[in-house]
Amino acid sequence: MMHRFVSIVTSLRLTVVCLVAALILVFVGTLAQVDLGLYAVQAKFFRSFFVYWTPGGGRWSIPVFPGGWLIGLVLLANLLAAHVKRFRFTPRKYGILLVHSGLIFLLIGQFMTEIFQVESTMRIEVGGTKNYSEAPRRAELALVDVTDPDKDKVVVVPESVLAKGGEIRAPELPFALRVKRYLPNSTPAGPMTGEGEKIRATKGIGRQLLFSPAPITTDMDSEDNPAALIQVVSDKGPLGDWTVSTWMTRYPEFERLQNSLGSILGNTPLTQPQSFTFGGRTWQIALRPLRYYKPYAMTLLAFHHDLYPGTDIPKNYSSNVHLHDPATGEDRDVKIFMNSPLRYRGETYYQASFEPGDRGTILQVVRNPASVTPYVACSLVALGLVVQFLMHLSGFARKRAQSLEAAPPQRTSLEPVLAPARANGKRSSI
Amino acid sequence: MVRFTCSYRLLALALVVGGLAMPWVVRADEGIKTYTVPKEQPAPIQPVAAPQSMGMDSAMPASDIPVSSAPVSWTTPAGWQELAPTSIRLGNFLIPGKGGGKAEVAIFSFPGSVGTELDNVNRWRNELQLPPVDADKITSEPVAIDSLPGRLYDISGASSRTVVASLPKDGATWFFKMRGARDTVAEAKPAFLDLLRSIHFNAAGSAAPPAPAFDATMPSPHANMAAAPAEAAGEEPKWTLPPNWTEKPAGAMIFKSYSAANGQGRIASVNISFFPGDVGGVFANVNRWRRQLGLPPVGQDQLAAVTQPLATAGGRATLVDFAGTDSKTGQAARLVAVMVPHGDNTWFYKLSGEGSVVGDQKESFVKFVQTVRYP
Repeated sequence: MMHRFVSIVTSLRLTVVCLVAALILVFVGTLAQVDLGLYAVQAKFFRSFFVYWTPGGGRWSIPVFPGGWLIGLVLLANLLAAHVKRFRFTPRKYGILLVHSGLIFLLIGQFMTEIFQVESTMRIEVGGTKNYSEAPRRAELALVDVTDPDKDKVVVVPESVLAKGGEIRAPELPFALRVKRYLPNSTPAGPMTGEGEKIRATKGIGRQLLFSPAPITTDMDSEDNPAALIQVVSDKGPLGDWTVSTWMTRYPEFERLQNSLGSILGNTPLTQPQSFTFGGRTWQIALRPLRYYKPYAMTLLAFHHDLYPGTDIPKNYSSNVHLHDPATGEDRDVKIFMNSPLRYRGETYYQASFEPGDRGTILQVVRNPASVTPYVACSLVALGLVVQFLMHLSGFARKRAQSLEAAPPQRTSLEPVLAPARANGKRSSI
Repeated sequence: MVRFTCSYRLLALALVVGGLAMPWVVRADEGIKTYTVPKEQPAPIQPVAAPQSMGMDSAMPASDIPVSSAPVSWTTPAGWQELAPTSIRLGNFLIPGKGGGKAEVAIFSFPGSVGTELDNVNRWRNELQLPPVDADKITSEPVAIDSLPGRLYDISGASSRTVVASLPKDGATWFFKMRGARDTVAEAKPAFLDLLRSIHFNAAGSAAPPAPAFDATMPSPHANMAAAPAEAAGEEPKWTLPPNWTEKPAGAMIFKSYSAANGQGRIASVNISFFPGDVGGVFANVNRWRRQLGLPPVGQDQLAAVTQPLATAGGRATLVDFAGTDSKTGQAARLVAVMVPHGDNTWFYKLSGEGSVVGDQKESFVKFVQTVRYP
């Protein structure tokens, strides 16, 4: 059985099957972009082990086709196994082995990057301090106990749990959350946006600010803004319904909405968290971009937007930040600017954007445990090429020396070059 | 043909089991989590000022510094007050005029074509309380903006005037709009043309700008939630309530709500709301109200038959009076509603309730609407 298994894994047939599956996946995934948009297709078809199908909006998903990761992994295993089975190691193939190892390392590194890389953004206003970054296109329901003067207890419920609806209970929450409505994408609603059913709360800003369903965004430059109607339920009964949406928490949506709504909301700041009291403790509730908390904090001291003198052409964008890490004692100022990111605790902070009026900076935060693999892979490939070249060169030099010793000086200048090839009966090549 | 031997079956089984288990494996970190974090320190409130610009001559006037976020730059004409940009308005100016008049200028852009030329012109006309025109009555002149061909529209109302330049560029439409008191706009028009001549699209401006959700001066992509500048600033219209009207808590999206009692103590409801833009226009709103009363929708050609023009202090308005069955309660009901386009907004006044009470209150209601003084 083992022999049979090895023959399958190393078979060319499996290679062809994988390549055909990849072909189909790319074709179907490309077509699906029309309805789902780029990011959803990437997640569903390519950054997945399987393409799942959920029949009739049910709770079960069935794998119906291999995803990009699985095809890549099987293909890699197939190539490696075939290599191991058929490759005959000889010292003359050191270079080729290194080159192939580099390429395989590159593929593995890219796979690790796909799985483990986390990209987020940190938006800091001048003078502000942040100890978290926010994920684009992902949201979480946050219940924050703000009673203590120094620290907040944060309980976060991922959007995927919200999407399932029903009742949510967590040991850290003294109440239950009932998801009465969940809109994957929403739009603020007025009297003429009555096509879909609007969500209306009994507590908080959602009494005045309504949301109605919106189609899922397929545009690359736009993000969905989910909304939900959450009922907080104690042992004695419901405490009320709150409307939550990233319209109120994601920049720049909340700023646009705030500008737009004006006195309709009684000039209540949208960013003012909705809160309620239960059991003598004050809780805030919000649907916000998914946060990655850091054990350190960064304060934006200044943001600079330089121009070439006498022109409107941007010369440089830079952020002067103060890094404070109580755990390590790190306490220093850092300048982050174009092509000069800050690397700290496995994360890289790039200068990405800024707020209108230079009011703040937006840093892209990348955590990639496999970030070193491309460098190692390229080094292996380069080393392999050099080794292979030197081996050929030494062989050539050796043969040339032998031919010079064996034969008198030749008439043409090309003869020393051609002689070793003739001796082998073929052309010399590197 | 692949023969499904025992090994193939094992491989297939492993893949299926793996596939079924993978969602739980991959989503294992997507459960409910709890953190204890230091309290977030809010950023100090900063004045929204002209952008900082290291390396620039500090003596350079702020107006000459392009807005940092803008993919467009300009030279602000002398005497104009440059206001802080908003998330919508890349350029934002106030022009003080003689005799207390003033005008404002906004530079903004939207993805796409933002409706037809006729839609845009009639919206601008509506802001000036002018009736709509047909496409063949539109007047405009060509204008070059950063060497690109745009169109310039100049529309005068009774007391206000709008001058707008529009420019389609890279899948977006740019608008340069001046609106204000007639005299002030007339006086500022040469400077406005200078501003257009100074416009320069930066390299970043070649890309379509991000889709702003709302804007004070444009129809919102979301139909009705655009900015309401005057009202947002806290300036509210002034009115005198008829007798027997008492204020009650306003519902969602309602600005003010009143109970209007007749002599027998029976009560009708008065709701006042305002929304930026034309909120779908008269036609859409008329049919919305008809749906609420279980009445069949009317066509455009029947609109005149079911609406009445109404002169108000805020400008030309539209009144409807429908009787039908309340679609929510199933009771006979009557609805009198007035749409008053004013400035960038449309105000809605709605009297609804039992037919007899609404009939008793209609005269007071109409007078009330006519005498509302807008900021």
